Amino acid sequence: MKKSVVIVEDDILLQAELISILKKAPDIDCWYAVGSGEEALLRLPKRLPDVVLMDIRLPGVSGIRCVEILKKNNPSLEIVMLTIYQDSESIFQALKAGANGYLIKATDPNSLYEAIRNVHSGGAPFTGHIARMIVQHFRSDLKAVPSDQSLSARELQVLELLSAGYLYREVGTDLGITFDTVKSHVRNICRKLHVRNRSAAIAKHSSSQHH
Amino acid sequence: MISPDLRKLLVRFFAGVLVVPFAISAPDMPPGFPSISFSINGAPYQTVDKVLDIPAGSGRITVKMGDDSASRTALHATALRFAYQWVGVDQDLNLRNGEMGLAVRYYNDKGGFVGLQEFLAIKESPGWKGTFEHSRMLHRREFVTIPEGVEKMGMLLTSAGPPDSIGVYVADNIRVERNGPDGKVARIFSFDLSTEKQTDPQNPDLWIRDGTKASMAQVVNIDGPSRHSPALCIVDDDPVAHAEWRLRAESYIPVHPGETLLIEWDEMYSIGLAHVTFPAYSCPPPGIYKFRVWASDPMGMPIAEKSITINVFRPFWMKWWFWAIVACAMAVPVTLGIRAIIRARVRWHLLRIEQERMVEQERLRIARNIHDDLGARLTHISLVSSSAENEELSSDEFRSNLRKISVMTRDLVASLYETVWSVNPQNDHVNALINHLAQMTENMCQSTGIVCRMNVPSSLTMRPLASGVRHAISLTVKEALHNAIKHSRASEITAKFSERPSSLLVEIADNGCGFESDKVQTGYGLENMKHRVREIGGRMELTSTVGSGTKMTLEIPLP
Repeated sequence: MKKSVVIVEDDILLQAELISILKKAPDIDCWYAVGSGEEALLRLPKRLPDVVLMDIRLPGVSGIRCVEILKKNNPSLEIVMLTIYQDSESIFQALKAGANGYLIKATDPNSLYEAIRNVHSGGAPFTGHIARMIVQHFRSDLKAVPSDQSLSARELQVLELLSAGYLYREVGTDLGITFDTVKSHVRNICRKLHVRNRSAAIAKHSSSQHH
Repeated sequence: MISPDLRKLLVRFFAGVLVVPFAISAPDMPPGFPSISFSINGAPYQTVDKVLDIPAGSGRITVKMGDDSASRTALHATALRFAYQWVGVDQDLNLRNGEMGLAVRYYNDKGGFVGLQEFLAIKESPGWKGTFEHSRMLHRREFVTIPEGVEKMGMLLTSAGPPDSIGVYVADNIRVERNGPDGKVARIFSFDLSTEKQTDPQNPDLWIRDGTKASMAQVVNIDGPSRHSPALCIVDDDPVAHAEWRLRAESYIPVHPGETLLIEWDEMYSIGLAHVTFPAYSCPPPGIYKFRVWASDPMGMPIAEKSITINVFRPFWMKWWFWAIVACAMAVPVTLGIRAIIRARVRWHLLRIEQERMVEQERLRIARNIHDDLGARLTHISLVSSSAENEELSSDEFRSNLRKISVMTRDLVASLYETVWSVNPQNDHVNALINHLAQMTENMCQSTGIVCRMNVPSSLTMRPLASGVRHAISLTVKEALHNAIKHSRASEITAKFSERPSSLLVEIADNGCGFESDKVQTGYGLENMKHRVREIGGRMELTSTVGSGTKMTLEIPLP
């Protein structure tokens, strides 16, 4: 079965380039591309694709805000962020908002295909910096939280190794687990990050309504 | 003959002798001599001895002579007339006006009082010499028109003028005449004490004494050059009381309403005021003045004089040397103040110039960066891509060119990111720098397959770091990593970042081949790195052992 893809990208040239690259993959079906977050929020909910490629920086509604809204209504929708730079801060925010992964725009076509094919299994490739930010984020809140929102000991180990510059492969070797297990840990960490972020937002929202 | 000069000298000498005793004898003034006090703008002014110092421009100076109610009874007993002069300010002696005189009274047919007409005597009569004996009586003529309804006319000598009048008033030889219908003058009243037949010389038959102190109405014998005869007189030496000689009711003169009568009499007088007076002066120009007060008996004979020296001085704030001193005293702080202001302005200006210079430098650096880095790479890409257009290229060459372009563009993006990152003021702190360095290390190692180990503190501060400093550190670390990757043949690179209270510490170590420190000092951009670190006030150390790797330590002071 083909994976359906929608592109959200404000740069027309890059948009056309991405479409033409995706057309070359036999197992990927690019439906359409939109130039703004507003358009995406209007068109996407009518018919959901498997994967959305979302530019992090968009004029008007930002890519991160877009992810937040889309994920809230459609938790199963897979979203991969597109970014020009390895901008950890934005990527971290996008992950918190619920993005499933990210891609540097200046990437080779194969990496692009790979990211779309394995988006639900691959998670986001964590750099050391992103790993550090996630560790810090989970540590910052010392309140007791439900287990589905706190990291397991193993997940914390993975994060700490990643933040020391270890690659996924090296993490697996070091902890005696497979590459895929590392990936699934990373995916879980992402999910918890998102869940935690959402429950925090809900708590904040409800408390502001009560007072 | 005495020469004029000598005479002038003598006059001056005797004048001094004559005036000075008066002034000196001030404490021994006769009783009743008015006390004198000064006030300036309403505030009492203390006199020091007899010299009164008044600063020029003092405003209104009031001189109060005499006593008010408290000592009025004492004054009562021994009233003195007085006069005063501020020599140099007042043109003449200020004799104070008093009033006495002769008056006629009108009565109707029932004996009721219906009117009064006074013929006042003010100050002194011409020819008054201070005593009855030496003074001359003057003849005075006045006309009266009898008002409607008047049947009889009375007559009186009175001292009931303004209160405080004191002095003497003498009158005699009083006649009243009317123009008869036939044009002839008819005398209807005549009185001359010397020729009057009377039972008691001190109590004339026609007149009676009256007033609040009737004893002051007297009969005096004038024994002077012009006459030797008694006369009616009022000697008023009491500023409160008055006295009068009044024609007895039986002697009232019958008159007709509407007719004009001539009244003639002889009189002499000397009348002044006693008690309090307070003339006001505006302060005269600087100089030495005398304020003189003369007191005389009720008859006008001088008894005593008091002289007060008034020194209207130019106060120090009106003198030139005061302002000279003030100017000198002000000159120092004013000069210092102006200098401080100028210095602060110059400093501010320099600071601004320095800031502008730094901004300019920064802009220059960014421009150079874009030109050197991005420009060069773009040129390179352009070259490679245009040669790829060449149809004679083999597909291998073509692909190789494309790969070059791909690598270069990726580098270009990374470089652009670096420039944008370094310029972005949001990254002007320690946290951003260390994260950036860690990420850069990671990226550079990953692209070469060298294992990267990092030691980054879990919490970093937001202490400020200028863009230029960040850029310099970033470039130095990049250079060190570049050297390690390119030349050390290392399998692992360890990067350690730590933040100390006063400095930032970076260690980049590899497990490569190392080098002999003294041999490789030049080249590899080492000099460049050291220079760059020195410029931002930091310290760089490079230690290397052949066979066991190289370690670069970078210490940058933090503000």
